[in-house]
Amino acid sequence: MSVYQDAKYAVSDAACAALTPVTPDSFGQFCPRFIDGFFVTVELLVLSCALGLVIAISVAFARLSSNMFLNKAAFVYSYVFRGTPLLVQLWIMYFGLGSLGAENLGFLWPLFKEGWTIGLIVLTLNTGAYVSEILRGGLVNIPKGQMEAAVATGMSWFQSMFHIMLPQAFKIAWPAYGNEVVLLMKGSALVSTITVLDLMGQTRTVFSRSYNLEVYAYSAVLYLILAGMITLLFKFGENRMKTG
Amino acid sequence: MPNQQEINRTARISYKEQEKPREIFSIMPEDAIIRVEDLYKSYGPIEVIKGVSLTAKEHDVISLIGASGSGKSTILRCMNLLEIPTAGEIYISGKRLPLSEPKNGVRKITSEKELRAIRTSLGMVFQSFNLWSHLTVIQNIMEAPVRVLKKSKDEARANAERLLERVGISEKRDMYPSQLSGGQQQRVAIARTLALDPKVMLFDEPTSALDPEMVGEVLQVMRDLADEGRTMIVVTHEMGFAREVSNHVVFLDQGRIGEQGHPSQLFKSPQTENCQKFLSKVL
Ligand SMILES: Nc1ncnc2c1ncn2[C@@H]1O[C@H](COP(=O)(O)OP(=O)(O)O)[C@@H](O)[C@H]1O
Ligand SMILES: [Mg+2]
Repeated sequence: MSVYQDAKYAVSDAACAALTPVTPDSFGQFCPRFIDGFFVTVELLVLSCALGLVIAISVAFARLSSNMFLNKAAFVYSYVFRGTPLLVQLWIMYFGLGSLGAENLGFLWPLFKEGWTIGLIVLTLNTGAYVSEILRGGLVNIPKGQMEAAVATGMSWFQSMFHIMLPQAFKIAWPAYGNEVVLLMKGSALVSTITVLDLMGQTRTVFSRSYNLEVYAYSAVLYLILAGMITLLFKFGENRMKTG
Repeated sequence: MPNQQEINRTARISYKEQEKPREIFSIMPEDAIIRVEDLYKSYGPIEVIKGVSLTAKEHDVISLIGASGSGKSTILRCMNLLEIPTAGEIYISGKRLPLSEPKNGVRKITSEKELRAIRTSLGMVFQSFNLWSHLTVIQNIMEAPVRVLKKSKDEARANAERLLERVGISEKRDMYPSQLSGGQQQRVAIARTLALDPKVMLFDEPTSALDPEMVGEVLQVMRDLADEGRTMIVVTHEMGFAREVSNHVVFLDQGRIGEQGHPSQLFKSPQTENCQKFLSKVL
């Protein structure tokens, strides 16, 4: 872990060494903070996307399964997380559940005491709910014969869903999925309200020291760069899926 | 007031009682590779299959003909439980399809494992091909052997190459289904089915979605399969194929078997009025 941290700081220092001469003083002065925050945002985004995807696939399958219990549970989960503001979810988890303290939470306490872990958990659950809905939309739009042809060979329901249906659902849902990742990135700024020093968190700290409104513009530019990278990544993926 | 189920049941019994014993039951069950016994299927209140019994022996090529909506696809789809029959039993190589007795009119699959094994032994070819659109031709053929039979990729690939050669489209192996003509797609679909070496092949109007000039190439592949002794049940509107290739023709009339027999007899001198009418329309 510390090797990872060191590496992060090394990259951040190197980036700032290169950026400081070509950027305004008001940026250069706090450059390492911006870059560190940028990395925390990227980190939360990558982890919550990956974990959220696992949840999303499971929930989308559950919603299409014939098991009534799984079906209902998946619906309730996705309804609750899509129907409430991300900010409320973060605060309930951090200030609400977190305030129960070490004695009540027991082995869960290490998870709840850090803003970062709560942030990751909530972002994961939130994006999991949205992506499950996106995938479900893709899955129900695949011609019925695709699944029939799969089970007719003797593949199990799960095999058919995973190997035949899911790849096609991703193809259908890809643009919507790309959108959701950008939305998640922007939404992740809310974790700054629970003490996480992500890009937004660092920006707020910098502002409280400098009272210079320009710092929000720098933060906006960094978010835009991230959004551009995500969009490019999805475009690249789309081109690779073009055939077939 | 009697409920719908009771009405159905009495209708069924009276129908069965008027019926003469079928010649088809004289085939000993152990010779039968598929045996359908008194099959019924309803969608809600509408009964679409009303007591059908059918037997296929090894090497049989049975053609199912009849007007659109007469229930041909439904019978075929009941054989691998893509549809769950309302009543009746189906045996594949002596094994009963794993279905429970109806409870509140619902029959459940009692063993997923048995069902999967049976499905693997019944290859199904669909009217709309249903090739998996995200996989290339060769991947389509390798998929089930690898996932279901747990064959190695190399073995599955070698077998797929061989099958592609057989249906005459080796050069398309790395293309996606959408890049192929209908006739080529259907030939790939047949190869995909053959990759599991099924005991019986079920064809549901395999040429109905094709442009006329492509019908021949698919029928030729099917003729070859019949020649090598494959057991086949074919729903078709191609009367030439039914007459020349099959050894038994079943005319389906509104969910019941209207008439059946050897093609030479059924096509030359149909006994029932409905069959005569149907044949005069399609021939
Ligand atoms: N899923 C379904 N729900 C309701 N009715 C259906 C369904 N599938 C088929 N049917 C009806 O069952 C009858 C038989 O259909 P089908 O077996 O497809 O006929 P065929 O293949 O001979 O044209 C038709 O009247 C059709 O409308
Ligand atoms: Mg049909």
